[in-house]
Amino acid sequence: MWNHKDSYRVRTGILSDGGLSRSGHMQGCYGEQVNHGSVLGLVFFPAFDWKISVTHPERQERLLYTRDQIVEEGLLDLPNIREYNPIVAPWDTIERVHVGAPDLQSWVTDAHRVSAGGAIAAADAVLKGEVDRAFALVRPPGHHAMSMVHGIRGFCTINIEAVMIQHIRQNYNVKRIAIVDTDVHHGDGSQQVFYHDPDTLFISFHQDGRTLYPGTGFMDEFGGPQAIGSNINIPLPPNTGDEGIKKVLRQLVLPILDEFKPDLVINSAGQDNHVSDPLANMNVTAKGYAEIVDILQADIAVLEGGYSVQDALPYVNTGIILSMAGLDYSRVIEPNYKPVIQSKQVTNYIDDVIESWRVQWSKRKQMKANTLLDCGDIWQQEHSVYYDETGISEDRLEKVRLYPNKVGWHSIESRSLHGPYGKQQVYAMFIPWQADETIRSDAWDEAHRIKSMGGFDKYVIVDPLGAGQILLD
Amino acid sequence: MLLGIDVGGTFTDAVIIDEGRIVTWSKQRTTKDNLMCGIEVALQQVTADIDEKAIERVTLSTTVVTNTVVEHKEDIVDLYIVPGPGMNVDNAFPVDPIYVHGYTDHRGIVVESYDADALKGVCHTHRYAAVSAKFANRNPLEEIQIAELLDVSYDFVSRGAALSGALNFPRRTISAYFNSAVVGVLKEFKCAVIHALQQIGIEAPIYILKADGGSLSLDGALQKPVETIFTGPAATVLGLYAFQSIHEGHTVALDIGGTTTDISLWRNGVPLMTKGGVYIREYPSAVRSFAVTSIGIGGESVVRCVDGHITVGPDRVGPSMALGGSEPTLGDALIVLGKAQYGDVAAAFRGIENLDISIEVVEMAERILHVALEHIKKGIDGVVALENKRPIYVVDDIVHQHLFLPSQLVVVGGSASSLAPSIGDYLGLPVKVPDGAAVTNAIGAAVAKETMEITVRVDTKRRLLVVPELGIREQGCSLRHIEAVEQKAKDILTTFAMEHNILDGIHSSIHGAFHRESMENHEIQIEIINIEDFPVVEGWQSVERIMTVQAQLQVGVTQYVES
Repeated sequence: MWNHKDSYRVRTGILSDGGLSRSGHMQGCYGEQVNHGSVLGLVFFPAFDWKISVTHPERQERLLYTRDQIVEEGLLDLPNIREYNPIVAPWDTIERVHVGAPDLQSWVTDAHRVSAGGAIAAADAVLKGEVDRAFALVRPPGHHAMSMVHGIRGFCTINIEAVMIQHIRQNYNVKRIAIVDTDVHHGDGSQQVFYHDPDTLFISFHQDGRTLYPGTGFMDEFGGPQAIGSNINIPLPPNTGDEGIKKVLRQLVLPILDEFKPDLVINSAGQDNHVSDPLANMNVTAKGYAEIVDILQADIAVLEGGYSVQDALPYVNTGIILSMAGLDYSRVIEPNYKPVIQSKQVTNYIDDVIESWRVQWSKRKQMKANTLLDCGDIWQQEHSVYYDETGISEDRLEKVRLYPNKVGWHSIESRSLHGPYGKQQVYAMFIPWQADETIRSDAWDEAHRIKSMGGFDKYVIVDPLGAGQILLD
Repeated sequence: MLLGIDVGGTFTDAVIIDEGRIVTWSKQRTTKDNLMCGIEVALQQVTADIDEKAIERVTLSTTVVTNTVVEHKEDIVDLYIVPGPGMNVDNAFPVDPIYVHGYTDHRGIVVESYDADALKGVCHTHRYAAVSAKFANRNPLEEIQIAELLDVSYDFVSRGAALSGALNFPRRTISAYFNSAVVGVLKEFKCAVIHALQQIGIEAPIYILKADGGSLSLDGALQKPVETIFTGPAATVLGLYAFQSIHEGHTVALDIGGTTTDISLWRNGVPLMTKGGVYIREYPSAVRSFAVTSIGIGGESVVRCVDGHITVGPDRVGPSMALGGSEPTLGDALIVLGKAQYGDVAAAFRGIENLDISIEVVEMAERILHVALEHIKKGIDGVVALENKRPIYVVDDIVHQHLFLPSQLVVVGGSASSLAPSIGDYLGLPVKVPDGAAVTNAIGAAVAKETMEITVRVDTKRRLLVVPELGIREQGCSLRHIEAVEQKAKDILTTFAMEHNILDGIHSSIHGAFHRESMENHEIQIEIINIEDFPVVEGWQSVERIMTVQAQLQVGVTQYVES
């Protein structure tokens, strides 16, 4: 199974401390550096000067109590926890993931870039071998943000994990990446960004979409035609507790990871499965979250949602930090905690989900063959996307070019009407990061063909490992 | 006249200052085994030609507490902690803690109170105790009550939140622990100092310097003895302040002593403080101090040469050979190069020459200097790099980062004049050596102001005001705006200063009775160190606020000194 407890730098044989030394304290001659085995890089960025609005869940105060708790616990003084500052994510990196309507600058603020930059700083610490694991405890979140951005969805504007992965693919030789999304909401943005990429596995377990925003995340969203089996949604019933989630991890997530053989595992670490979260209905505890992290052994964790800012986040984050640093988290218990026993009904439901998944997973190769058989060179699908923060509805026509043995381009023909910037019509061609010159050339031909037919305000090509984002004119 | 004494690792300095001028000073070797011997000699020297009765105030910066903890000679303390849920702290402190059940949360709400009966069952094994509770800085009530219960059984009980109002339970706990652990040593020292001063005929009030550059009356220091640890660097910083030698831009200040060089950074004339507090041995404490980093290079760093490989420091074996030592030092090399002039020059040459007779003596001295300069450069680079990695928590500061880029050097300490020009050349920076640089620390001590720091926290929803350092917890507080909280902090500090006769200058009792007019003439300088003002939303609607203001009687000097 996946969980082998070795960190990225141990698995790949790179070990360096990047010239960093923590002996910066006064009288540095005392206090020898103690090696605790596992070193955690922590990017703590509460963005104390950024909000969506005064009473919005994404407001200045969100990580205030978490700051209080982790500073009060003394976690930042531990010799095996190294604090890193975020960088400001370069526009170029963001533009290799996202296309904006009318443009990215209309939606993306400095705060978003710093949040994504926090994830990038965490990834760099791990991939350079300076630390064993890293946790980007940053806001605002990103997992509802899709590659096409007409506004803010589920408090998210740009997908901070996707921007981080883009940075990783540009700078390090990493092929197989798995994201495990432990937020209570379906990570529909991350799902969309990686839906056609067979080398990026996206696993999301969440409260069932029939009972919670964004209303998606079902088993049949199983990956695009050329990436079937690389998108795994595990909808769980309300009132799932620690026991249920741990079972899903052990019996489903770890075996799938083990077969996928990722070079890198990323945890989209939303914290709203917590029993006290005001926006959802699950029963996970802080210690439960620490155990989830311990079972998963992700290389990089990135904070997503979690809005029980006083009663959950301080304890959940303390638990996650201790767990990722390989320290004792058994005493992380919410004050006044009264154990909630997961009902038999919920347990049975979860057992059924696990069983159905085992069946679907075992059939994935056959399913892929059947899909490809049906659709010829081009696969296409229409759907609409709603931006809850600004009330914008976007209609999309998505196309994928299929090849027998290669990953082809996909394109989005996107239209929205009622946003603050008026009517938007954008065509975006996404070249896969795996593209060779044939794929690239086919993609350019297709984009020019669409442009010659007209009907859009702007036409862009996104070539993540090539020229970046190019506006056709 | 002000008398300042600085007991350093190598030298004990004394200085007398009158109206901004240095009247007289002396430099003695520190008598490690009994600090009082060196202090007495230094006192006799500086007071030889002056009227003892004219001395208005004596301030000491001393290694007495520092040496005690460095040498593991502090008392063992019974440590009571109320950690509640969270990190396992079984091995975080110098002793196994005595766990007390209970929990106060991050808002300062007592979720579960301590069990008084359980406390009665604990057997007391030592004379001193310390109490620390998680989030006691948000609500010190539980800590205070436990300390009161323990008070009957111990000679002295320290409380974490009384020593620091800042977050960080392990640091406050360490402060409380060492506070009780060194109180005995400081008491003894107090008696010895009073005795020595009386012998000479000085009856002026006595102050002790703190690590953060403030001073405390000797009696006040006995409540917070841990704060008198690591005062050497604070004395340097204050001395530099007094010289007014650091103004605009980013300055690196070096204090080159016999054994070590202390590096401090200044932004626009203001010295930088440590993030959380100083380390006491391997333990991070909440004792605030200037951010000063020591590196193992000083005027008497021993020089060795093995197979052509030259090392300078980090240890000091004894005085330079020019002063009768047995092994060559950096100071000897500086004499060979003509950069320093003292002692037996021939002995210095002999020492450097004998390191490796195949190398010409001046060439050897130059190589030694180069090694030393490289060490110093590395030290400075490291300190600057670390400063530029300081965690930042707001978007604006990330987008507009203010990197520390050194623009000048200020060098003080015994070897300042002989090394400073070379360091300036090596780093390519302008360099300044103030006059009187050799006794900067004693000057800093002499002119140190009294300080006090408080944290005022207001929770508007709960109409609660808390000042942990003073044990204040006021219900029914009606303050709703940050400006009002700032004013309240200033009022509390002013009242405190008046009650304790702290003036922005010389202690008033010198001039007899306390005069209100003199208080009005000396406006008390209060500095707001930190402000936090957060909207709090509960039930999606009502916007309340949590506001925190950290304020202090401004660290600084009672008078500037001509240099």
